Amino acid sequence: MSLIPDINSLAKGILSYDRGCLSRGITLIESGLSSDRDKAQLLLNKLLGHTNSALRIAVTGSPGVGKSSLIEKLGLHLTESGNRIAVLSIDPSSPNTGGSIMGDKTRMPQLAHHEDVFIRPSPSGNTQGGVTHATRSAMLLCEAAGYNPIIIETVGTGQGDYGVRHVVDFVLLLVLPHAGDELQGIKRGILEIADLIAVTKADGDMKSKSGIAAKSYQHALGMRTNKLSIPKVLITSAHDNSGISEVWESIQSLETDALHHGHFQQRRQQQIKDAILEATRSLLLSDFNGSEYRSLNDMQQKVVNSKSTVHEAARRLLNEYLQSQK
Amino acid sequence: MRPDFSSIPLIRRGITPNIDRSGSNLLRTCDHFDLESCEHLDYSAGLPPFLRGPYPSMYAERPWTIRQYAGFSTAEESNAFYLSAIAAGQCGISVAFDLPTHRGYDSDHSLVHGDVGQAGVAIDSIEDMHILFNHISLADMSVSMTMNGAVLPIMAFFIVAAQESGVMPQQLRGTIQNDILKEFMVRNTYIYPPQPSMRITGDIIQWCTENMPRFNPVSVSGYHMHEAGAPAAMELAYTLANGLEYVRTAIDRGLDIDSFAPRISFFFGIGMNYFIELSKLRAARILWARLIKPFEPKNPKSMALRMHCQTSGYSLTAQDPRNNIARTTLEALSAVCGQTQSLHTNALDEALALPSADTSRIARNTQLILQEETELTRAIDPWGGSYVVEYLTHTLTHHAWSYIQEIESIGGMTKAIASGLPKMRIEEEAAVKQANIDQGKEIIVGINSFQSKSSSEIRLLRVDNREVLANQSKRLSHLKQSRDSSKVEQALEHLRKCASQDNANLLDVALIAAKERATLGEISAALESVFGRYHAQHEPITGVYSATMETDECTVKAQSLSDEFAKLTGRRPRILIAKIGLDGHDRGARVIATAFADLGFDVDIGPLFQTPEDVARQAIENDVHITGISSLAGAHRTLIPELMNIFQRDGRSDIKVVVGGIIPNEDYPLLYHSGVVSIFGPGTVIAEAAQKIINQLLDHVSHP
Repeated sequence: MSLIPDINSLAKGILSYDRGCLSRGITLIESGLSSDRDKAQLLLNKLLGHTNSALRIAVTGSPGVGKSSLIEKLGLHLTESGNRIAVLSIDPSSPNTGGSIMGDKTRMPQLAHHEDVFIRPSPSGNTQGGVTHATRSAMLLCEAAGYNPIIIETVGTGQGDYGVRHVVDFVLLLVLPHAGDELQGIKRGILEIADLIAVTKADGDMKSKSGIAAKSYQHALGMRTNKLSIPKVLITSAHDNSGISEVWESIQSLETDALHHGHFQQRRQQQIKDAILEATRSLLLSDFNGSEYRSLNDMQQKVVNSKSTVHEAARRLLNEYLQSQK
Repeated sequence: MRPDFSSIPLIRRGITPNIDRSGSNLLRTCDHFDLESCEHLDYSAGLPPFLRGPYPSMYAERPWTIRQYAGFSTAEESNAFYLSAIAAGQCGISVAFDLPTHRGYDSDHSLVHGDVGQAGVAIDSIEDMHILFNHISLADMSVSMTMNGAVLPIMAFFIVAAQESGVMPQQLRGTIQNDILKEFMVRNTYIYPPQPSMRITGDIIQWCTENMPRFNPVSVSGYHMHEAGAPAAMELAYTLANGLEYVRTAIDRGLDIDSFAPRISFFFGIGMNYFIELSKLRAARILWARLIKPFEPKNPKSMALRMHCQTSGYSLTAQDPRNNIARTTLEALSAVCGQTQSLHTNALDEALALPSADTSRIARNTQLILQEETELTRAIDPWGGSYVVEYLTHTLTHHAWSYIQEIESIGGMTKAIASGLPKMRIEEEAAVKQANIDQGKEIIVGINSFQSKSSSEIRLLRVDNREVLANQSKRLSHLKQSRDSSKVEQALEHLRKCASQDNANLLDVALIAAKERATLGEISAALESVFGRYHAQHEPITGVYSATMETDECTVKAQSLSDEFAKLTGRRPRILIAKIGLDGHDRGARVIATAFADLGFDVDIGPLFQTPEDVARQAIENDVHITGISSLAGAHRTLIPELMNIFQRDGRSDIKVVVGGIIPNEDYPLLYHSGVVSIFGPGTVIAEAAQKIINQLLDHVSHP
C-alpha cells in the first residue's frame, strides 16, 4: 500500500544503514499477506552473509517492572561507547479488538532521538510466547543494517515470554524489589530461561530493600534452578542511573564465557534447528486446510456418536492429506 | 378543552450528573428526608468551616474581583490590553504566558519557534516584565500570574521590576499559581523532576510568607483537572490533596500554619452542571477547613478557603460559537452563587483562538451585568437551604473525602502522582465522557444535537508568530550586549551552586540573577544543569472507550473496517498520535489514542514536546500509515507545514497526516494546502473519524 521500493533497492538501503528502508523491510516481514511473505523471503536471501554478526539480548519481566526505562539507560550507556543499537519491542494486542497501544518511545525519550539507535515497536498480534513470528527475521534485518547489539523487549506477560529464549543469546530478567511476594509470582520456567537477573527501581524508599531482595533471589535461584552456573543478580535503578554499566559488563562476561566454552555456538545451532522445525510446522499448518476434507464431517459425527475418538479422526485426516500430496 | 400534557414525557432523558461514574442519579427530587443525613446544615459564612462563604458579609461589602486571564504575544500588546481593561472596569490583572516561557526557554531557543507568542505573552527577561506593567502601579493593582514551571525567574522578574519602579515586595498584591503537582497530573508544563520542583514551590511559599504578606504564593488549581475530564468530586479531592501537600511542605520548613495558610488560594473550573458546580464550591470550603484543623491554627482565617474560578473552556464549542456566550453566563452565575472571590469568564471564541478585544469585552461585561444589574451581590450563599443543593453538597463532600483518603493511604499526593494513579483516574473519566458525547448520551447543543446549518464566522485574533519571534530575538540580543556578562555568569554560577545544596532559598538567588539581566532561559538552564529536565512516562489506559461504546453502531462499523483493512493489506491500520511543539495538554491525544486502539488500530504514541523532525522520525521508523497531530495552542501553522516537508524530503509523503484539536476555520486552507488529508475539530465523533481515515487508506489501496 505504501509504495514499497523494489526488493533490490530495499536490500541496498538496509545495507547502507537507511532507517526508512529498514523500517519498511520490517513491515514487509511482519505482513500477513502471502504475497508479502514471498517478497520477505527474497529480501532475507539478499541479506544473507550480512547477518548473524550481532549479540542478541532479550529483556523480559512482568508489566511495570521497568523494561523500557532500563533499556533507555542501558542503550545510552552502549551508544556512549560507540555501539549502534536496535531495540525491537513487542507490545500486547487486545484479544477483543485486535488493536494495541505502543508507548515504548515515551519511556525511551532520549534513545528515541538518538542518531545511532533504531527502535521498532511491534504489536504481538495473536502470537503467544512474548515474541512475534517475525521477531527473528526482523532481528536479522537489523543485523544487516549494522546494529549490534540487538535488544528485544518482550510483552512481559510472564508465562508467554519463554519463546524469546529461542531467538536470543542471553535473557535478562527484570524483577521488582519486593522479594517475598514477587518470587511467588514468578513462574519457575521464567527463572530457568534467565541468564542474568536485575532488580529494578532500587531507588528512593526501595533502595534499602533491594539488597535484601537481591539476596533472596540469589538464594532462591540456588534452590530452584538446575543449571550448572547460577545466574547473577544485579541491583539497578534507571531513575538514579545506577547498576547499568554492571548489567552490560555482566552480559559481556557471559558472552566471553559462553564463547570460550562453546555454549554460544551450540545455542545458536540449536536455535537454527528449532527455527527450521518451527517453520516447517507452520508451513504444514498453513498448507493443510482441514475444512477441505469431506471426511471431517463424517469423523465429527462419529466422535459425537461415540463411534470414534478425536485422535483417530485426526489420524484419518492426516492420512488423507498425505495421500493428496503424492 | 384543557390542554393535554399526558403524551409528553416528563423526563426526556436520564440526567446523569458528572459526580462520578458509579454515582447514582443524584439530580432527582430531593426533599427534607435527604437532609436528615447532612451534618453541615448549620454552618454559616465567615466562621469555620465557612460553608456559605469565607467572609461574613460576602458580596454585600465587596463583590467578587473580575479578573480576566489574558496575554497577547508581546509585552507591549498585553500592556495595552491591560490598560484598556482596567479603564473598562476590570479590577485585577491575570497574565497568560506563552509556552516557551512556561517551559523555561527564551524565545530564540531553537526548539520553540512555533510556540513563541501563541498562547500568551513571551517574557524573556526583566525588560519584558517592565514593558508588561508599564503605566500600571503595582502597589495598587492585584496581579495574578499563571506560572508553575519557570516560577523562579518569573517571580524574580516581577519582584525586581517592581523594586526598580519603586514598589517594595511587601506592597505587592496578587497570586502566583506555583502549583506544580497538578502539572505532573494533567497540564505538563513542568520543567524539573518532582522533587526539585517541590523544593522550588516551597522556596516560593517561604519567601512570600516572609516578604510579601499581601501576595498569594500558591493557587492550588483544580481547573486543569476539570478541563481534563475529572468529575466534580475528583477535582475537589485532588485539588485539596495537592493543597494539603503544600501545607505540609511549608510546615516542614518550620513555617507557622497561621503565617501562610491564610494566603493559600484555590482555583476551580466551572462547567455546565449548574447545581453540582456551585455545590462543589461549598463542599470545597468545608473540606479545606476540615483538612487544616489538625494543624491547630490559632487564626480562623487559616481554615478559610478563598478561590478564583474560571468558566470551562472545555464546554465551549467551535461550532456556532455565539452559543458560548450563553454557556459562559450560566457558568459564571454558578460560580457566583457558589460565592467565588474572583472570576474569569471565557470569551466566546476561546475554543478557536486567543480572545479578540471584541469578544473579551463581552466576556467582561457578562460579569459586570451580574454585578450591577441583578442584585445578586445582596444575597449570601443564595442557594443555601435548597434541598438539592444541600444534598449535593453533602454527597460531594463525602465522595471527595473518600478520594482524599485514598491518596492519603498511598502517602500523600507526591507519592500518588509517582504511582500514576490520579492521572490514570482522570484519563478513565475523560474517556468515558468522550464516549458519552460521541454516543449523544451527553448533549452539547450545536455539536451532537441541534446542529446549525448556517456557519457563523467570527473574526479571530491572529498571532503573527514570526514577527513576535523577530522582536523578541532582537530585544534579547540587545539585552545581552548591554549587560555585564561576567556578573551574569557569576549570578548563574551562584544559582547552580545553591541548587546543588539544600540550604539556600532559590528565589533569593534568582533575584540577583534577574537584577543582573540574566534571561529566563539562562536561569532555567542553570537550574536544569543541576536538576535535570523531567520526562513523564505513564501508561495509557485501554478498553474504557470501547467498554462504554460496545453496542454503538458507529463503533462496530469502525472495528469491522479495521479488520477488513488488516485482511486486505496484511496488517492493521497503524497510526502515530503525536503532540508537536510545547503544548502539553495531552488529554485529547491520550483519549484519542485509547479510542483508536479500541477501534482496532495499532496506535503508536510519542513523548510530549516533539519537534517536526522527531515526529517524522518516529512515524517513519515505526512505519505508520497515518500520523495524527493534536494541536491546541496554535503552533500547527508553523510546525505542520514543516512536518510535511520532512516527509517529502525523506520520500514518505505516502504517510497521511491528520490534525485534531483547536484549529480555526481560516487555518484549514493552509493545512490542506500543505498536504493534510483531514482536520477534526472539537466535537468530532472518534469512531466516525476512524472510519473516514480507514476509508481514505482503502481508497489508496484500490487506486494507488
